[in-house]
Formats: sequence, structure tokens, C-alpha cells
Amino acid sequence: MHPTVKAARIAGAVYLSTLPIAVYFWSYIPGKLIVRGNATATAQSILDHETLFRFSILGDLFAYVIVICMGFLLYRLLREVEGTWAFLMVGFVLLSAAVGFFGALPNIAAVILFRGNDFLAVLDKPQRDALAMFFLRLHGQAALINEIFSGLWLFPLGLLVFRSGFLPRFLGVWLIVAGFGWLVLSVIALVFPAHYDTAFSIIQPVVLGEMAFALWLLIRGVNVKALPARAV
Amino acid sequence: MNPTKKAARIAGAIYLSMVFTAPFSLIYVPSKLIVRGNAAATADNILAHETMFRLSIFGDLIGQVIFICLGIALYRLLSNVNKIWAALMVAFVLVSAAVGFLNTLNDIGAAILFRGGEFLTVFDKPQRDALAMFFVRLHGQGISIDEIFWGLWLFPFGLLVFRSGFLPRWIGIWLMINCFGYVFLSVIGFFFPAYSDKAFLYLQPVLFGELAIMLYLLIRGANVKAFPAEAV
Repeated sequence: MHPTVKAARIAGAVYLSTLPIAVYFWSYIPGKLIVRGNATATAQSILDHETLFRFSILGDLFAYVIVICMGFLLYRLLREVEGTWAFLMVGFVLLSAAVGFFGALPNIAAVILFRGNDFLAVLDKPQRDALAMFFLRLHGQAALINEIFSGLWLFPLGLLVFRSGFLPRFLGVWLIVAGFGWLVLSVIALVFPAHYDTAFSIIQPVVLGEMAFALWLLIRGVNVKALPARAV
Repeated sequence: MNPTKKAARIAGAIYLSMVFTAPFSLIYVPSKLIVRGNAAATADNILAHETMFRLSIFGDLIGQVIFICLGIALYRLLSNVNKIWAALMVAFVLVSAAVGFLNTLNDIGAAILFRGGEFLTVFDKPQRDALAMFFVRLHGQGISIDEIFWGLWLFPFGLLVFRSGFLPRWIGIWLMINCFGYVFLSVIGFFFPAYSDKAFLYLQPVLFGELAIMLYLLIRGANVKAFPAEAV
């Protein structure tokens, strides 16, 4: 296999792998364990499934490590197109990972408060549960802030794909539109939180651009004939 | 002196400065001031030695800055071996430093709560102390999270040392094993915090890989005869 095709396939596979991991750790497990607005019930379910919850925190971190690796695989694939834009793309990915890593801390804080052993005994259980719930909420907000980066890195990526010549231009355009989609979503989450779910269902097709791109890389790889001479 | 040899010595010297500063904030001050599980005693200690506590926060921040410098110094030394792996190494260092910087906020939060001036008087002292202790605990958990990166950056680093030809291969392998040591420690910290100290003790030989490369860079520099033609 041509080395650039191989690089594209690997990048596509890693990109796609982030999807199930993200859905499982970022929405499935929290959806199972967190009872929205009910601190007591949430405390009960998290204490009953503490290992699962800790596992989801670890998975959350693991997902960001994969995101960093994915950023570098795409960098390797696209830096010949335009080094500076590729560099900017990796920069956004790294910031996103840093925010994501730090965003795991409120979840850990919630576990500490729900358990509430030794020194935390001075707080009543309802108070501790409420504080823990607040930290769970904070974790969710950190994830929403991070959607800004989920959008921003797609601009340089889309541009690089568009200009590359060895990947279809429509995917580049779709990625840039998806970048706007994420930005709009994060603004709605911050300013009009009540409308987030509606907005998400409307914007979803736009955001699917990422999946289309990842599948293309995995299945089609790149158009070898159009590769720049240096990269061959 | 040969420029690469000089670069190796500089990287070694920066590494050495980290060995001197990190234990102060990471081990010495916490062991002196923090009484595990006892908020009142910890409050007394920290208020009695507030300057020392603040110095350790400052040391923490300086440590992150030194870490960034170390990453860049090693990039200069090793980027000729493989640019992408060297960039990935720096990327892990940068994300780790960002997480570490934000994590000091937990210690600062604890200091504010322990002092409990003005607006915090609505909380009883035991409550404030418990909350402060909670932030101290959170800082420890933040370090556990960051430990993943203390490990991860060693993998590209070890690989580059292994492939360089001018640094001993066995240290490269040691560093790559060292990577998994830290990641393992971090996972233990998540699921079995009670065994953290024991795991740290048993993993010491693995974690000395960093000490080995530090001493080698500082004392031997680089094996100039073995340079790839490009790097000379």
C-alpha cells in the first residue's frame, strides 16, 4: 500500500474510534448514572456503581489521549499541504485536550463528595450531595466550553482537505460547515441553554461531516495520483 | 563543544533543575503540612506555615515552566531523528503543563478557604476547613490525572532516544517502560487509591529511567561519533 494511503487509513481508523468511545463515556454512562436535578437519586446510583463511574472518568481521559494522537496523524497526512495551517490545527487539538483533561476533575470532585468520608462528615449528606451535583453540572459545562475547540480545529482541517488535491473538496467544505455548527452549539449552550437539545438535533447533519471525512479516509484513503511530488 | 553535545548538556541541566524543584512542592511540603483525613490539623499547619504553602504553589508553577523548557530543549536535541515523534513529545509536555497550571488553583482555593476572611464568615470554621481539605484532595487527584502525561511524553522521548544512534538504546527502552509505569500509577490512583503508595514504591526501578537519561545527558552528553550526517 502507498505510504500516504496507509497514513490516511490509520488516521481514519483512529478518528472513527473516537466516536464510540466518546458516545460511551461522554453520554451513555453519565446518562445511566446521573438523574438530572435529583441529587439524592444520583448519589445513590453513583455510589452503587462507583467503579463504573470511575471507569468512565478514566475513559474520558483516554478519549482525549486518542484525540491528541488523531491530531498528529492528521498533521502527518496534511502538513505538506500547508505547514502553518496544519500546525494551527494541532494547536487547537492540544488546547482542547488540556481543557478536557482538566474537565475530568469536577467529576472526581463529585465522587469525593458523594462518598463523603472522614473530614467531610461536618457537612450534612444533603449538602454534600448538592455540592457533588453542582460539580457534575460543572463537568458538563466544561464539556460544552470545549465544543468551541471541537469547532475551531475543523477550520484549518477543512481548509487543508479542500486545498490538498488528494481528498475531495466537498469534504473540506463540509468540515468547515461542521466547525461553524459546533461553534453555534457552544454559543447556544452558554447563552440559551434551554434550546440546546433542539439546536443539537437540527445541527446534527452538519456535524456528521466529521464522520463522513473519517469514513472516507478509512475506506478510500487518498487519491494517489494527485499527491504532491514531495509527499510521494 | 560540538553543538549537539552542548544541546544534550543543556537539556540534562534543565532536567537536573527539575529534580531539585519538583520534590519540594510534590513531596516535602505536603508531607509536612497535610494531615490526611484531618481538616482541623491541616488548617492549623497551613495557617502556621502559610508562606511555605504558598512557596510550594509557586514551586509547582515554576516546575511546569521548567518542564516546558525541558520539552523544547529535548526537541532541539532529537527533532532530527524524527520530527513528528519529537513534536508529539512536546505536545504531551505542553498539555501536561497546562493541566498542572490549572491544578494549582485547587491549592489556592484551599488557602483562601483555610484563611476564611470576610465573605466566608457565613460558613463555620469546621465547614470551611472541610471544604478546604476537599480542595487539597482535589489537587492530589489533579496530579493523578497529570501523571498520565508524565508517562505519555516518555514514550516518544524513549523512542527517539532508541533511534537516535547517539544516545544509548537501553535508556530508550527504559524510558518507554517508564511511560507505562506512570500510566499504571495513575490508574491505580483512580481505582485503588489505598495502594498508591505501595505501587509507587515497587515501581521505583521503572521510574528511575528518567534519572538515567538525565545523568547521561548531563555527564556524557551525546556520542558525537554516532551522529547521523544531517545532525552534525
